[in-house]
Amino acid sequence: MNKILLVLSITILLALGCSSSKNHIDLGYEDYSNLNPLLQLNANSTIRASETVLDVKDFSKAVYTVKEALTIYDKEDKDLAQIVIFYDDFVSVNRLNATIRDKRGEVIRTFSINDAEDYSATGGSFFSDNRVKVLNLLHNSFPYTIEVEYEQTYSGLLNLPSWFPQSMGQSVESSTFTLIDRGNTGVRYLTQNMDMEPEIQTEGGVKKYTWDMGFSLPIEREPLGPSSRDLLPHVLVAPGKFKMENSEGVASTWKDFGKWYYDLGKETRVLPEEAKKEIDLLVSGVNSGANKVQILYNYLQEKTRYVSIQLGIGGWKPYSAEYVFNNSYGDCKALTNYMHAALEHVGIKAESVLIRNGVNSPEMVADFPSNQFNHVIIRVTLENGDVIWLECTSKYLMPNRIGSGNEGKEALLITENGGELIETPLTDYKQNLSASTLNFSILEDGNARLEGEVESRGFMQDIVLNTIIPVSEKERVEWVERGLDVDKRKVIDYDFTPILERDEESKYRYVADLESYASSSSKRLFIPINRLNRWQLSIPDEDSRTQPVKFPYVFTETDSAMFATPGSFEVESMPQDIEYSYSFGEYKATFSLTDENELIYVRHFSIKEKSIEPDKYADFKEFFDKVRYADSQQLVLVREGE
Amino acid sequence: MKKLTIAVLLLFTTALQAQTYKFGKVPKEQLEMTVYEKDSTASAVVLFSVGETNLDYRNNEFRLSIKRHVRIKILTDEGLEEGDVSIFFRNEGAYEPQEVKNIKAESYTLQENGKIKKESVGRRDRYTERLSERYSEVKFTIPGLKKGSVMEYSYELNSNNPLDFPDWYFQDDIPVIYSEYKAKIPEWFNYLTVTRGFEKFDVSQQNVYTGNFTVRETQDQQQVTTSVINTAGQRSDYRVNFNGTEYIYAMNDLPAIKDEPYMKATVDYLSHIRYQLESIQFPNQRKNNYLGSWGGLVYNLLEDEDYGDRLRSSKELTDATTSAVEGLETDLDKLIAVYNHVKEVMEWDEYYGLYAFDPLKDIYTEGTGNGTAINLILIQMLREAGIEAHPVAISTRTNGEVITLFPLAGQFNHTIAYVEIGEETYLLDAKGEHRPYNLLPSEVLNGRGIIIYEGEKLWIPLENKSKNSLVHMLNIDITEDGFTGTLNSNTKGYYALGNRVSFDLDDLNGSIQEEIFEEMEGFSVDSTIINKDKLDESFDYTVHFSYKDDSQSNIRYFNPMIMHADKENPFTLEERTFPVDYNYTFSENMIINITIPEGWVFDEAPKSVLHRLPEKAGDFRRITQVNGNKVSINYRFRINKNRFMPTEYGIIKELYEVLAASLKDNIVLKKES
Repeated sequence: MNKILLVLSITILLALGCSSSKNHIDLGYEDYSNLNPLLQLNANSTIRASETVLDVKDFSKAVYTVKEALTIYDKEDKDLAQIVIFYDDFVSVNRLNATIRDKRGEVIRTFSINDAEDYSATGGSFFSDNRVKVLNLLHNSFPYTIEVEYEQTYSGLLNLPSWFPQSMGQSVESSTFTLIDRGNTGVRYLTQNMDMEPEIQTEGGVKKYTWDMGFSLPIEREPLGPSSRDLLPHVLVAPGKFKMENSEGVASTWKDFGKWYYDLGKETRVLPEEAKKEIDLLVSGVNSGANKVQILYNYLQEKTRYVSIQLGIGGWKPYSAEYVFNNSYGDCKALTNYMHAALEHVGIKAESVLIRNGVNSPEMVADFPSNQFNHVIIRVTLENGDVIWLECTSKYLMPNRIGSGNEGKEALLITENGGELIETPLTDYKQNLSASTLNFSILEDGNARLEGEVESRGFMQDIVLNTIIPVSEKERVEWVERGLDVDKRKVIDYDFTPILERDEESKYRYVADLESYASSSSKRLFIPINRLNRWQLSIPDEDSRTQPVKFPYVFTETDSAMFATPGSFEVESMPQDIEYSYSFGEYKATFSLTDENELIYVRHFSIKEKSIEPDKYADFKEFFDKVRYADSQQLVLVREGE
Repeated sequence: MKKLTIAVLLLFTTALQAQTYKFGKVPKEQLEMTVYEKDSTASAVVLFSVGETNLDYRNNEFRLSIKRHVRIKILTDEGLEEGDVSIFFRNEGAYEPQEVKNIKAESYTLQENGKIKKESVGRRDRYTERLSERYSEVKFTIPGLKKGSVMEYSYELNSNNPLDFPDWYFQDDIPVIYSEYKAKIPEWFNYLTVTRGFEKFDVSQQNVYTGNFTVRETQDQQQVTTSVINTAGQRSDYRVNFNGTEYIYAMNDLPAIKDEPYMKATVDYLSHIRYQLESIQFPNQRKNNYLGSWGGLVYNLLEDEDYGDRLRSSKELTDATTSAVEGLETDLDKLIAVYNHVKEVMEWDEYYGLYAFDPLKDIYTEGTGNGTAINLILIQMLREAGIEAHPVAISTRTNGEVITLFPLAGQFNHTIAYVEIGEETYLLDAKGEHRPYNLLPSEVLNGRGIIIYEGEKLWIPLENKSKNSLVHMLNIDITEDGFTGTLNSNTKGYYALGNRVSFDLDDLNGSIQEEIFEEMEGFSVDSTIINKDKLDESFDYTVHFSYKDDSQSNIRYFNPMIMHADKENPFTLEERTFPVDYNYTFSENMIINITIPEGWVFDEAPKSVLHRLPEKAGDFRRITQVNGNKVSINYRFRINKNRFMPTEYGIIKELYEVLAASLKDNIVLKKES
């Protein structure tokens, strides 16, 4: 792999080669030196002038052109001078020209498409046809201006580009976007995060929509804040009727879009005879629908694994059920499709659900039917009306667990009759639970024997399953040991059975010897009360918060620990009971001593809200600072008679 | 004794011959295996990996045929990713393309009914991805793979360039049970070989073999090899007989190489063998040398259009130099000014590489370049300033050690500058910010570099002259409701660099709070003054801080190590099969004086500790002295040696254990009753 990276890096370097084209880009600018100082305030760069045109010729073709001049102020922001243009089987790059001008506007260098480096851009996929052209427009004296002009042809309108007049930290002098509809293609738009309606011109059946953004100051993203897409102004564009390869569809309603996707996958959902036999055998004698689903889901998880291959329309059309049966691997569409076919075969109603997966990915825009999805899962409906959700790319999740990236999201249910917007289930903070019971026997030298049991549910269970099952037994033990956060520790006994068997009650248990868990001096023992599960993240101080804090998930931790102390010591100092309660979270710790000088410590910590409003930021910081401190307290024992 | 060795060798030979690795013949025990006993953490294990390289005469030229056959046992789900296979090759866009052929890939899984299920990769399930103009990858995923499956694949890679003779890696990031490499080399080809790593060969032998081939006259006479061999001037086909040497190397039971703290490039630890074509000499012919001497390499680099030839005067660089050194008297001042100018103007594009592919003036104008380009600009500008400066070709730590046996430019991936001013010499690297001229980046500290000039010295050790040290003087006054304190910090070398990088000069108190005191609750930094920030010397600062404690307790516990980032022992593994490599040596000193208020007494203070490594390789020391209402604690932690061999792992691990435990010790104060 390193070799490949090296080659890539070499080729990228070579891309800085000479230029040839003399085509200057005309944006009406004679002089770039005259710039309003206000636009430089807190800005990494300024869009001086930008003209973007999306010309939708018909329902299978659109031409996208961009002309832009961007002034970059500082060496730190030089990465903005890297022009990256993605293309694939459906989107080509026809033209690419660029110029570098110094601060006075003098042309330093010009570039053409031949100067751009071209390489494969598979991203997270094992194989895909995505490629990228890259131009680095570099200069050593700041500020300087880059002018870029390029044209792309979309032969298939499924994924039309959005218009973002500015990126994070960027100010705008002038930026326009024109959407042209030449043939009643039904192309649609939606304006997001800005109050601006387009100017509309109609001329002989050609409709032109123009957005003109003048003078705009930069937008900054605050730490732990929403995604850029949720903050930046932009215009979404989507097709009405569209054609991809030989497949035609309509996206103007969710119903139609869903219908297209349904039909695209229909013929691939045919199980080979051998597969049918295998499945029949599995469910023979099983009556309950829920049990059948469980059995088939286990079968899928056991049989297949996720490998991402995105080629051509294959980026949308699932590989056939037969392919998955023969190869035992597939991407999300292929695996979902196989599961779908298997469920249908045994007479259980299943439907695909298109979704925008990702813990921090932007919300789906429900009132704008379009391809906003990057993933697909399954919703099963049993005869009694019960619903079961399945994430088919996971080898370990329990039925009805779809992972935090799919939870609580609007998504598109794909039915025979078309698409239908639905919401995926969300586990609340009480259901995402990690509960530990720890029994420490502290010895005189500070070493300890620990018997621990950890139960997890919901999202925490997902993590444990995904961590424990795929690895070797010894690595499971090492994982537990790493979590013990003591330099020298040894797990001497363990039991992961409930996890490996994926029992409803997901528990694992271990016994460990911890060297110097407590630090000992000649007279005392200092015993950290929560060394194994303390909160360590500190929240940055911010005076004027304007954006909400986005938490990836809500959760509850309940930990109870018992510390049996050596007989020759008595308690010298013990932490006080604590309780903090905010709308977004709670923390409670109680301490008590038994007659045998055992300390009982019970901790309860929960984050209840995924999104915390900016006016609560100070509380939010205070809460986590307090929790951090509360978790770091210690019990002090002193030798009797001292 | 000698007899015994021979007997053992013979045994090995026969054992080796008895082992055949036939595709598709998977013994049942391999399918039934559930855990690899020697490393039970393994997610997969290479059952065998055998390779063979032949130089064959075909179609009137010598072609390399490289065959590889690997069989892997999948032990856990995590191991399933071994099933994603990529084969890298030069495609038809390259001057001498390579060809990948005869790909076979299968999986075997033991079914519950005891039968073996076999799945094969079909032609349609393979993809060729064009990575760049000259390189591609064949990719496929082995079908039917499950935990417990055995997978194998084999392929052949052909090349008509004898320089492509492949290296062989016996070791991998998963354990390898058996790895074998055969190389058959006809007598006319001379290859140099080098072996690396910390594992031993179980087989290392050479056998003479004989071969023959037919030269066909009708073929194109332009083929170099043909015309060379065909010296007699015959006009008909004829046979050529030759001797050759077959080399066989094998290793058993190679542990997996995993990322561990304090490692250099993985390639420096992996057991492997490298081949380098030195020369080709056909009968009665002139010898063709492919490998020169180091002196020759220096000469070639000096002449190279993308290296030495780049060092030319240009208006851009001359003007820049003139303004940078204006008004400066001494050569050292000029050197510093030029260094700072290049560091300021040039941004490193994060890539290494031995060559600069554009004229220096263009790269200078772009303001961004690879490491070599930036330092060639530095060298050229120093020369313009009248200072003697030369390039030094080096290999970074990540790129691996330079093999002295191979005078090959391909081993280097970066260039720094060598400067002589009078009797003094300097090594400079102007890429990256914050670093003073006299501190090389730690990535560069990798053995020796070669000076590219016509002078006498060839190799130069890549070392910093300055020490890496941290001295913290901490005075703490404990009060009735907390404490106040002063920290005087003096840092040199990489410690100073670290502060320069991490401190936000606009919010010093905040930086100190974050970096030094790690955001302790109740803690406040009241003032921070930077006393000295002379780039080439030290970074010194003074901090006043205070801590509020309203617990009203009659007994107080206080950890005097209120700041120390390295509280954890980085060495958690029981054993290590390769050395611990520090980028650089260092020393940390901390002197803490604590005064307690009237009416309080010390009940306990940390014990004195001394833990030394043999041969002064490192130590940890803590000396505690209580004197009335004052306690002084003196810590010192030093590592004086760069490399600790696997046999020394235990002692270095123990040193960190003592250190980590000691840092947790508390002072206990009691109110006098």
